[in-house]
Amino acid sequence: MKSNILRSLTIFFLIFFSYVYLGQQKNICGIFLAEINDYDLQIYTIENQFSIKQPLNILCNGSIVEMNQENEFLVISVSKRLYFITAQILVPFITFLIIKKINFLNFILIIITNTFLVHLIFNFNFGLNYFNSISINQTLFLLLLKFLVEHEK
Amino acid sequence: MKNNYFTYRVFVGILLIALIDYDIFPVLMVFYLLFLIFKKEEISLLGYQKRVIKFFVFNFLIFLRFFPIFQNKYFYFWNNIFQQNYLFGDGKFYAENIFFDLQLFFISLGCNDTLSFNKSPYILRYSGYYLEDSKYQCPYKIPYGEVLNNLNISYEFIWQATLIVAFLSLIIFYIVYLDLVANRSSRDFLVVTTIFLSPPINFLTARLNIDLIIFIFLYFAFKYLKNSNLLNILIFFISLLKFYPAILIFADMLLKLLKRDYKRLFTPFILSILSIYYFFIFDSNYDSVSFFAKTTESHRAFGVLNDILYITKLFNLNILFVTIVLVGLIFYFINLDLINKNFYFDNEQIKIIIMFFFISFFVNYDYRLIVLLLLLKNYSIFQNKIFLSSYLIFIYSSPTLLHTYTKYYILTLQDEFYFFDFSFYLFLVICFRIMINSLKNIKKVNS
Repeated sequence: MKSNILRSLTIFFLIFFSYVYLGQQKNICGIFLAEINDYDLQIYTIENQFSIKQPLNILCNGSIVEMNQENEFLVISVSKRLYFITAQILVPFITFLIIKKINFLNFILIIITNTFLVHLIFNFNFGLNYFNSISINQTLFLLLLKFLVEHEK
Repeated sequence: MKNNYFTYRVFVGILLIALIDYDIFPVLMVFYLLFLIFKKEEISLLGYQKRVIKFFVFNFLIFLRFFPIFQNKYFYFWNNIFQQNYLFGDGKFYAENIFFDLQLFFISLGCNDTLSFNKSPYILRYSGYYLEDSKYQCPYKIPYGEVLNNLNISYEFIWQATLIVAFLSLIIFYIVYLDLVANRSSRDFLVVTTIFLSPPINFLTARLNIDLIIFIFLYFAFKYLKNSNLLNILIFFISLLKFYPAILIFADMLLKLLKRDYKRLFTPFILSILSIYYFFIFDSNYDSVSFFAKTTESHRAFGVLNDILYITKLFNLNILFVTIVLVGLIFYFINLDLINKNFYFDNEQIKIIIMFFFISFFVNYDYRLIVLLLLLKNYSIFQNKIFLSSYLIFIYSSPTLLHTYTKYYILTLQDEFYFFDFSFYLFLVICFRIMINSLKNIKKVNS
């Protein structure tokens, strides 16, 4: 009962967060790379200026800072540090900790949630890759580690 | 024991997907393998089912690589059967630069020919089909061992030599596969097969790096040379091409010291001294290692040093601090004692794992994971589910699928994303733990 409430609350907050997040993004950041369909453009990155003074910049990962059609390049704002910490450590570990019992269904759920969150935070298109490579690799690692601790000792 | 048609059909289905688009294959196969490892009931394949799988592996490793070279209109097979690590143009991989590393290797030997200097540039096969020509003009030196600067082939013979050596290497590699799957249980047969089709092996056989030739020599040397002195001498000669096999000689010396086998210490000791001398006396050897003293494409390379350099750069931290944290984490996990204490490597595996530790500390492209196939000869270690699953997850996530970010492939190619491979560290820690058990056991037996 308790875990069901916790799970429902987590899903509710995820949806709520996504709603607020996506709503705010448009107003603050402008166009995102995900909306551009020109494959010939060269892409460069610039470090996202996210800080305590400018916290809303966190929403603008993947937004276009400069676009030059003549020279066929565009510059996008990305926080590589945030990408590393969030996508590769926080998201997989937190989702994994929330779901304690490991079975096939939960495992798939973790991967889908991780993939969704990583796509959401970094404004990647869905369907870019078959699954998110990072989510799968890190989740498989965590699964194995959990199995290792529980069964091999 | 009943024959499991479902398991067989799913396996063959996933294999067929590798022919349509190899990028889908690793994801599905890694799930299938975990299912296979943790499945409680035994599976049994019939003789014809094993023959079908062997036939598939033959086609995948040899036929589909060579047929398009002679019938160019089928080049799209190259696009299908390789992980698209190297993307061009608008995010698509094109069948260019076939057996790229081997071509470079022979260009380097061709340029040692004194008659080559006035020749026109060598145009990489099949350069110019889709992109601009990739031309190589002498002098050109590949950053391998110094000994290669003293060998040469005719400059006109580069492409023919590439094809002949690639064909022979892949045929012998297939023989190694047949040797390794002979007399295995059905489950082990499937596992070994998937290892031969895994991403690092696919990466290696697309580039045809001479690591494949080194592996073949090492495999047959370990199999047929029972005299350790002869084995060490052969390894010494192989290490003249690339340095890393020389670690096997150092490992042999270490084992003999632990076993107090001082009488047979002389040969490995002398060969170790010679290896160190060879490495340091020539600048070209040193250059081949220092080439990697920088962040190197985390999505298709592995190594502790690589991660240290990336994290240092990413967070503007002190390199010593990052090293201490990362090594500290490794030792913390080793200390957790996650694996059964009665689980040991044999002597040959100890040497291979020591070599793996050595190369793991530096930076390597993922195709060098072929050295881990040497562990398959003595399969007992793979009966441990934890070792086997960490091994498979590690090799099936190397290289990663990051390149499949289609539109963002340029960002991956420009090395904008750093990928920290947890599975590499898990495998490293498990190996380290088993290594400690094994060395303790040797010491106990000999005390």
